[in-house]
Amino acid sequence: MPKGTLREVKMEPSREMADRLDTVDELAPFRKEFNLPAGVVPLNGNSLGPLPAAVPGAVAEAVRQWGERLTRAWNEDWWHAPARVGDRIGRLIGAAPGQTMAGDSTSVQIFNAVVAAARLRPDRRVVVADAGNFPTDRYLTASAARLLGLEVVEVPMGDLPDAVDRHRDEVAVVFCPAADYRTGELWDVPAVTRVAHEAGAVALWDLSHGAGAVPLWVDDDGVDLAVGCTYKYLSGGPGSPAYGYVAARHQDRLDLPLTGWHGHARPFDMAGVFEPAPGVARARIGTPPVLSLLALEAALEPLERAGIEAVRAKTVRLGDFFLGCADRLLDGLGFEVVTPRDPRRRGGHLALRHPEAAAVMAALKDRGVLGDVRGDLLRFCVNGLYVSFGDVHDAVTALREVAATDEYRSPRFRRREVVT
Amino acid sequence: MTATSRNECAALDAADPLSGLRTEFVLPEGVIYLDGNSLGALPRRTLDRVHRLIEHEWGQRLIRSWNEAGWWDLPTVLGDRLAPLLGASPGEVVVCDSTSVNIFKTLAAALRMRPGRRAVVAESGSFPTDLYITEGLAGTLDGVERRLVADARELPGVLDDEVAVVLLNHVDYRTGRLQDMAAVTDLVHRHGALVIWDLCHSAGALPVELNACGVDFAVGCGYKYLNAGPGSPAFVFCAARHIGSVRQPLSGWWGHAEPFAFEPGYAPDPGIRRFLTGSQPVVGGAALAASLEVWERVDMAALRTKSLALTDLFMRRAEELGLETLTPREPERRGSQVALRVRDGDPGDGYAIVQALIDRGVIGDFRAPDVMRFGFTPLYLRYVDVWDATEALADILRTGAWRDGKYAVRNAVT
Repeated sequence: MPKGTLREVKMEPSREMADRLDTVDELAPFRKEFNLPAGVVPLNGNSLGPLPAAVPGAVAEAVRQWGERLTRAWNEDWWHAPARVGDRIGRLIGAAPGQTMAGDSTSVQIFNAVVAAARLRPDRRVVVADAGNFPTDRYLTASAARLLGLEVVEVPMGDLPDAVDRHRDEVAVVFCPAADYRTGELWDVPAVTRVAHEAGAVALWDLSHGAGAVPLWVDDDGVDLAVGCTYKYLSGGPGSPAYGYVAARHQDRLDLPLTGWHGHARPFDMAGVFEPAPGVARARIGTPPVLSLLALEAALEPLERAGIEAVRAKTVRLGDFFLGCADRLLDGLGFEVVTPRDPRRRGGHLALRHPEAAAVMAALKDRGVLGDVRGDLLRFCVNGLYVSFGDVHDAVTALREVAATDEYRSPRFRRREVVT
Repeated sequence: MTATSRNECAALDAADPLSGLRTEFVLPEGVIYLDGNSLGALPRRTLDRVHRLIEHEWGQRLIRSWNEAGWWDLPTVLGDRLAPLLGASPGEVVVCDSTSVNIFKTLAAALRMRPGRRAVVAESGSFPTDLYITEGLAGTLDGVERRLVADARELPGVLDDEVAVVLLNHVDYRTGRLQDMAAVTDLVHRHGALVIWDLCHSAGALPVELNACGVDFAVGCGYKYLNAGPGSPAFVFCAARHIGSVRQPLSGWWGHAEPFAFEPGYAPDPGIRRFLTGSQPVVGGAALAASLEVWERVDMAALRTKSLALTDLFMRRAEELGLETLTPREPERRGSQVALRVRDGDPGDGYAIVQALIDRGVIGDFRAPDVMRFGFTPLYLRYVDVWDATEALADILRTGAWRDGKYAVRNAVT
């Protein structure tokens, strides 16, 4: 273990300890690669990652290409960007090149993937899915099921193996998130994928809360299809394009419903009949959002250089430190830790339950501590790439002050925003 | 009157009421850009708008910008600003996703509004993605039949009580032929079907009157005549009379009535937001916001007058050079682009001529099998540009410069 580790932290989670841990933190220099506003504690990277310092230049360059090169830029840089960026995301999730494609929103990717996954098992009619998955996953699974005449069986992750077993001859697709978007609980991708495969089903994963937060090995784990978001742990910027992963063994018979011209084998033949491109290129749909795509490409660089394993190791230590601080500073203030304490079962964020979560978060934000709220849960993302131990201590200290002084009861923290 | 000399073109430019808008655009030196129907030029103000979005709204304000900077409402705010260019009312247009994805949504929505009818009609010569998406949808829904017509003139032969929806291109992407939206919409309605107009090559190219024509749905693209940048978000129009009851299958959280209640079941937003699916690329939205500021200063009647004059000038000159014009000569039947073909040539000739023109700074494009395509964007093109482009074309043809083997090498994007 590196210096300044868990045991010490658990003994004395103080500001001094935070400073000592930051001093010896080998990833500390990466914080400067993000343009963080002064006076802000950025613990909401699970919702929208901060701005990587390289992105403004990359976007300015993309706009320059548009202005000066005009349509010529499609051949010079843009046409292959979805595959190029896809392969770089692929490396972060354990996918060999040629299996990951960037584009569209996660929601669109989900619809495409659920339909295509079900068509890989045409004689089966059941989708078993996590009942706690992010709502858009559930909405689009329901919609795809309605179109294809499938039955969706939603169960909590803990009951999933039993549910798959109950439907073992009928289950076509098992669809789960890598981590719970509310509690931050990390699910066991290889084990659940095995459960799906043992029942003859296809394993589809939503990696939105896993990719960039924890190392993933989709190839090694035998994952069939996956989708994910890039504006959280990958810091691609608001609404940056999502991605889809299709294991090489499925690509040439993958029957996607969203058959747009960019997924055609020869898009500029302008042929009248759709012929899917070989390989993962068939997962392209329409014209990709080039400016966002090139922003995302630049955003990946610091994470690639730091290495996902190193980031994960620090995230675990930040999480332990957060829990140590919470145990010491928040005792008796009405908070409950809902994220598993076992770091092997934790993703990149921690969740605390509080009956007045929304007001507490509003008061925290007023102090510059950015997290977010889902129902009665306060979420705090401790991304090891740019969050410091000092940030964690400041955040928990602010939580204590806000809760202990009833500051959050002020009427100005009662107003609900549209986006929470 | 068509100009017959460069001097006459210069005189037309001097009298052009839209001439002041050219300075709103960044145009590379030495380039005559006749490809704004493929990718519109960069509005100067977009540079600042995108910079502010990245550095301030995202960099400094982070997630707070979803509320503060209006990111969440951007799809409908931009839709309302786009609506006047389409002859639509506020609340009927939403900016989102790609045109391809939006075609899927509107086709499926229309089919659901006509239960019992299972046929979808599309044009065999429409932009390919319209055909591909129709194919993909027909393969996803049970028992949907796809019928193809050459163009709207063949509709009377296929419209019957099986047809739920007809998907049509307002302006043909290759020839620039403009369809009579009012008459065709009326014809489709008289057979009890719904219509979806693809406006990719007409939005921003000419005045569009969706509501006056009684249109049900429309989709279109932001990166051609609207100048919103590569892969900028597309749009969906749904007539107000349908919005309350219509359902589309890409029912993601952004289209939910209460997206932040995180409810287990889907309930559509009461308004046009129900056509949204997932998170929208905000950078592209910001670029569209900037380009729409330019559009707010455009008189669409003046735009149409100049557009027709530019295409007329180009067609006449091309015909004098012996090229075949595929674009209708009647003004009411053409959009803002011109398609040319080499008479009795090989299919590859057009490609080589376009490449030779690009080499001389005249940028047009090529659409398989043999069409040379030139777009005319009155906001930043001058009459003299059109004149100079035809002079370059004349020189390339006279000298045979296009026969150089280097112009036959195909790029990924044509």
